[in-house]
Amino acid sequence: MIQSIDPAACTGCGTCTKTCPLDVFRLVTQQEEISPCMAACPAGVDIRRNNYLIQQGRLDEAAQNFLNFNPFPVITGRVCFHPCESKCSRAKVDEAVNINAVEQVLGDRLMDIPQEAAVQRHITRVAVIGSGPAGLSCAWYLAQMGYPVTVFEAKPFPGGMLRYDIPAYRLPDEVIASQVERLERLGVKFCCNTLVGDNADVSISDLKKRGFKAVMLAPGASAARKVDIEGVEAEGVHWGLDFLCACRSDEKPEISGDVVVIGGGDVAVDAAITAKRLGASRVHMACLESRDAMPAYPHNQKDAENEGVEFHCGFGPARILTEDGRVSGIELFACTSLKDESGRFNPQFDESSKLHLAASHVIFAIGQKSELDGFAGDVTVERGRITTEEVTFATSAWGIFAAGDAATGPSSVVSAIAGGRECAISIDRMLKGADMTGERARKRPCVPEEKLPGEGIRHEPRHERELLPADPEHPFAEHTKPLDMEACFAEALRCMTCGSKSRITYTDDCMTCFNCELNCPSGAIFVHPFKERFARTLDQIEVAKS
Amino acid sequence: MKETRGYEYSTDLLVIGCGFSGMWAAMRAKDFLDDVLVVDKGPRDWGGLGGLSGGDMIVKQPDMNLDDLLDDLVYYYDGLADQRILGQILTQSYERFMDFENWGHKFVRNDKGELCFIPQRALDHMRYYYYHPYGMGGIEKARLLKQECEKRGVRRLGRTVITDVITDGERVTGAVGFHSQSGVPVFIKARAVLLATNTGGWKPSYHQNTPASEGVSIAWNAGCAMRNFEFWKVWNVPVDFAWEGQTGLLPKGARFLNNKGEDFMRKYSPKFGAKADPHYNTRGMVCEVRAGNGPIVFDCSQMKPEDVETMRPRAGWMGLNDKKLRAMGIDFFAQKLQWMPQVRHTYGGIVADLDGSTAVKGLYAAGLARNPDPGVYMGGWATCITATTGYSAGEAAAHFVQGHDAVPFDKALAAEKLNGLLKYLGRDGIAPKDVIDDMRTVMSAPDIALMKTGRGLTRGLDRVAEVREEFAPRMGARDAHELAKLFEAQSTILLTDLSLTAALTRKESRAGHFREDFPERDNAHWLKWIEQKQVDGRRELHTVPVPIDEYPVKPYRYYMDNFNWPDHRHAG
Repeated sequence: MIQSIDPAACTGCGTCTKTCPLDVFRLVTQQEEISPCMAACPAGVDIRRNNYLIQQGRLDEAAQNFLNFNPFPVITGRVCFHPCESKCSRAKVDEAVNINAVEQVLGDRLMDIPQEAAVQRHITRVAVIGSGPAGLSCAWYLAQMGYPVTVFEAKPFPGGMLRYDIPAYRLPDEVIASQVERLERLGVKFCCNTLVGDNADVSISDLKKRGFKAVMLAPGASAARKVDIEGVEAEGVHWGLDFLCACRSDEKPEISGDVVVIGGGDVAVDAAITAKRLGASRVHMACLESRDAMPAYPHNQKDAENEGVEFHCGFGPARILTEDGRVSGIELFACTSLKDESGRFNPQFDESSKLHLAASHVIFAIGQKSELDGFAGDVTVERGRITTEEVTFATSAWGIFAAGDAATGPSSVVSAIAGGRECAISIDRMLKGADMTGERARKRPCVPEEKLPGEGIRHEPRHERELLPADPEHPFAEHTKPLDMEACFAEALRCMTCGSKSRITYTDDCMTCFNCELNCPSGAIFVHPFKERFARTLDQIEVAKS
Repeated sequence: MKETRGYEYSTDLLVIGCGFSGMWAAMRAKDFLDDVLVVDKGPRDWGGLGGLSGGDMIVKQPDMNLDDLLDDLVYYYDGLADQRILGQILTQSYERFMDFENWGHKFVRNDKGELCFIPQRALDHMRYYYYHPYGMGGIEKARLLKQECEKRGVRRLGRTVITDVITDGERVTGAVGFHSQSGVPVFIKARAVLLATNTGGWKPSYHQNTPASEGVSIAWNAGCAMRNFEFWKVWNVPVDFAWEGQTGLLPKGARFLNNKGEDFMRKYSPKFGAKADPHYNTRGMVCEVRAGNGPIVFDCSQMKPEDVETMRPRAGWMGLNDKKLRAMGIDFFAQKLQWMPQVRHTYGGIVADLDGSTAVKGLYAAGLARNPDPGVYMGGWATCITATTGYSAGEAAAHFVQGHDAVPFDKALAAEKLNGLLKYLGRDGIAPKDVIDDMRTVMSAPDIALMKTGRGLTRGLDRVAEVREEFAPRMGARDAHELAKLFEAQSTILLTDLSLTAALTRKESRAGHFREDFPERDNAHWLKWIEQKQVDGRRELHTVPVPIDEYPVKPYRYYMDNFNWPDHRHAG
């Protein structure tokens, strides 16, 4: 019979829970030490617990638990750069757990659950400026806390960069619309086509006058950086985010012939694939960096490769070639170095080493910035960003908080979501008169390297989402298929729930098969060879009287 | 969130049970179908009981004559042999044996390269082939079967308890169940369903706690006929611990001794001694204890040292078990250790055609779920049955799917059926394990377990009725884990009922069935199978004569005739 588990030896890998035929074990995932994936997640999502809940078939509970850290797994399950996976201990065994794909399943499941209205607990109104990921996240948590929230958005529809800067094949309109609808059902009000700031539709001081006791700024960084080289005024030159934004409208740019995208980041990749889907014959991407230093996330680079995008790394634009005012090509110089001795961005070129690419269109995707002039009179803005305190996201002005790209510089969706959540917590604390910082700065320790599971774990292949070929009829239809339920369970089962502890839960169900002890990679389990005693046939026999 | 929703799957073929027969079936079906899904109430890919077995395999090698082997079985089964299915199992066994070999699983050969084997039950032609190191045969086969399933893209799901197959009144449309750790409903739309659930027993520990008659319950409620339930396995086991290998040890000289040190089975069968089927040995044990010669011990002292070497487990659970026991001062081969008989599981199974098709269109059965044996067993036989019937049923089910369009799955009906069980979830009440234990206790009585009597069987049935009426409705399941046990408990009541009813009906003794009040064989009345099925919610019991005229081998000798038991009809 199963007798004991040595908690000091147990690494929490869950081999016992996954292989016990009689289902004797359970894991305790709530531990002080967090797993590497949790430590890597900008939103601190409790990935370990979620995956264990899924392992137990408790998918809906996992989805609910997810919301405590990030209200939009349906979005991040599609667009997150998933740094969790790059830290996943499983990578040392075979491949990282496909955490992002599992997250998408959770998000998609939540889409089917009707959102109930939040209970209003507070009278104080809060204004959120900007409806990108940071703004929506802040609004979500504030509404859940019971605050009346109004979100102001300059564009016609809510969603910010999610709606306008990410191509629909990665994040369909209906996904964003569904999240906005959930927020509305929760009680959040949206005020679109309304630019906030000085000399705009409404100023921050106007909002305060209207009774908004707290303001959260999340205007994003949606303005494309531009470059001034010969030919940029020609017809056929586009600017990254403007181009992507136009593609989400009813009047998409008409693209034909060859296209050159300048830039090596994620926006450049999005622009390249988008151009391809709009009808470009060939799409080239040229960037200053070498191939292995391209800033775009590897999975996005892979998407571009799959779409047939051709890379030209180590080149910077010299001039745009034109014919009759239209783009006919681009001339690039080889980049010899990117930074100067002090580490500042200062690209150097070898003008004798040229690359000519014929093209009908050139798309510059060389960076983005925030437009913050409208807020500069209210809060401190330095080097193009709103200055905030590290933990609380408070700005220089009492009652005004800021998160997202406008506060951090261009960053990730998940970071913006986390920032929005933290703003909500700060606003709640401020409005209630509590200490805003408290213990929030404390970071839980990560499971030390030597205690991470990995050794002796059986190989199980990673499940990938199926990449769908572009449909000529619907080129912006979603490009991946979510994991099916069985693959989702299988993928969650690959999670080694690092740092959990196993517990003998149904002791009396053990049939002394030794599977757990044999399979335990850390030798933590002890099974006694004696089995349980049942009613014995021979003991019931009476000795015959002779 | 208030509502927990179900998990929905759709597949061409649903295989219930991820043991050897289930994996063989799924693997073969996937050769023909786009999508095959295997579910198991245990862990995903765990390999079932086969994975815990020695992995020994009876095989009809190409140089053997089928009629010789059938002759052995007709003799061994005392005439009650389904020669058609046994013939098919034996005929196909070599191909499956070669599959294992081709996947790299090499059975033991001697220095000349000849396959080594161990004869079974002193029969002339039944012999099993084995794997070395002893203790790894089952584990390795399970690994290979999983690998082949994976290679072919068979989808697998664990921790999923199936409670019912769903039909449209005529044909299977899928199945319903729940996740065993969350209780979340599971709906599976399927164009055919294959039961590879084993049949189940009374959860006697020693590694047979997993198949707990859910397969019996599923098939019974689907309307399948069930056969051979008067036969159940009573295995000899060490009193304190588990040991695998007696079917190899006894032919190599191991014996059972009484408290006088006598090899008592020589008394009851001078010809076979203890080399016969364990059921005969257990009867001998009862007789010895009645005579005041208990307890019974197992003795390896007459085995040759090289045979001890062969049979000493080196790896897997058996190796670890041996190592731990020796650390406690218990040396299995050097000491005389107390053994006992233990009722384990039914030999009853689902009535199916040669290809595994049941009375329900689109519902197939494979492996021990169809159990063609009348209560006696040979080492290595389960590996043979699961491989051959699994493979052929998988192929037949796949062809059925190819020839039939999908039919609508009535999810509301499925939910309604499941709610009959889910209503217990979260409810406090009688522990399901108490009910299982009660049924196990019923079956442990000597006049039920071994030397059956009408009185004992009737008393057992009275207790089944009492438990079914008084305690079963008051069971509770505080969590999903207990809900799985509750379904096991309900199924165990049904199993016990079917078993005792059939045993009471067969008023004779034959093969694994010994009625102390009817100790003789009665060919005139009982060369037939007893079948039970549910018709309009009621049990119908009928008999099916063994079609001897159609079979190649006519019974002319009987294994049971090698034993003489004291006549106890008028005792006590």
